[in-house]
Amino acid sequence: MTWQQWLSRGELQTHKTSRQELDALRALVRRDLADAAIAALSEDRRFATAYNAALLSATMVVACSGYRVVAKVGHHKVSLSAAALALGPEAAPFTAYFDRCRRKRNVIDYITAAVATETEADELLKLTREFNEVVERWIAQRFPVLSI
Amino acid sequence: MRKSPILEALFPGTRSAILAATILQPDRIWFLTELAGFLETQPSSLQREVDSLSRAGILRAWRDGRRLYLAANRGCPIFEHLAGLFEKTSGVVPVIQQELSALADRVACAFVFGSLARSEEGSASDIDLLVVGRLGLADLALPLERAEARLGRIINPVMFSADEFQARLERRDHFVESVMGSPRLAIFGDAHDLATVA
Repeated sequence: MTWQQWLSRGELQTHKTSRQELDALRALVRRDLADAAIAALSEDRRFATAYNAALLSATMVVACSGYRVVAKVGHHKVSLSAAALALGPEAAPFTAYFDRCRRKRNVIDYITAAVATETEADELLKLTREFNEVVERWIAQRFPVLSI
Repeated sequence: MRKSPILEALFPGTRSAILAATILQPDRIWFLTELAGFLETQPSSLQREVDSLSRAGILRAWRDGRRLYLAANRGCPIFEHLAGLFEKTSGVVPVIQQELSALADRVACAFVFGSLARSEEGSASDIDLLVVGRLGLADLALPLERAEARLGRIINPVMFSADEFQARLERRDHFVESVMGSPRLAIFGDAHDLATVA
């Protein structure tokens, strides 16, 4: 899929981001990464919260690329795929993994409880932190004015 | 050999079992008694089906002395279609085994549970897969993506470290208990390995 194809399907809109918007997204990522580390929460909630931090990190990439994902069915998949397209090879290890996490998170939030394991929640938290570091490095290189 | 309701409807009785065994291992040459042992039946009960399938050109069958040998016939015009059909039904275990084989040394045990393991699946049923080992969903993501493409079904993995699996067993976790108390199809490891993990 290309940016143009997502635009023509109405899944993306062009968008001009700002330092303020990026910092607001960063605050959300920090909040979710911190919450996902709280051992007292259920594995499901930790997993879903860590996933949200990954999704927000992807949203930062899409915003820096000049787009906004339209909130409609499938928008998480579009966010993650579009971020992977923008980040290039460095995102490759995360792409298939986050897509699988997206599917598990859909089950957690809408279908049934006690789906995620502690092993899975710990792994997602670790890899989301790594993904966020990849995202921040990419922003620093490509859009220094928007970097931390 | 796992029984698939879809195959049973299409090919009742021993025919689906013979086809699954031969089509899913197309380079393997069987002798009749060996195939009967594999399918846990008597050679005499396979004879009529083998004759029929070889006459139709779906199997190759030939004699060497007293032994009757048989194998899938890759030259059959519908071989690829049959292979796809059996891979998507009876082939669940071998396909997942193949795709995860590079990770096998990090897997204490892995098995399919749920409707497929109970042979109660519908044409659109997902595959529930439980994996215990020194790996994560990130390791499984690409191999399972390939397995899904081959099987035409969604695979839902549940991943445990050995420590977490043991802890859940000890506290009689509802999910783990219900899975362990239900039919399972071994991908790697068996009940003994589960006991070792536990």
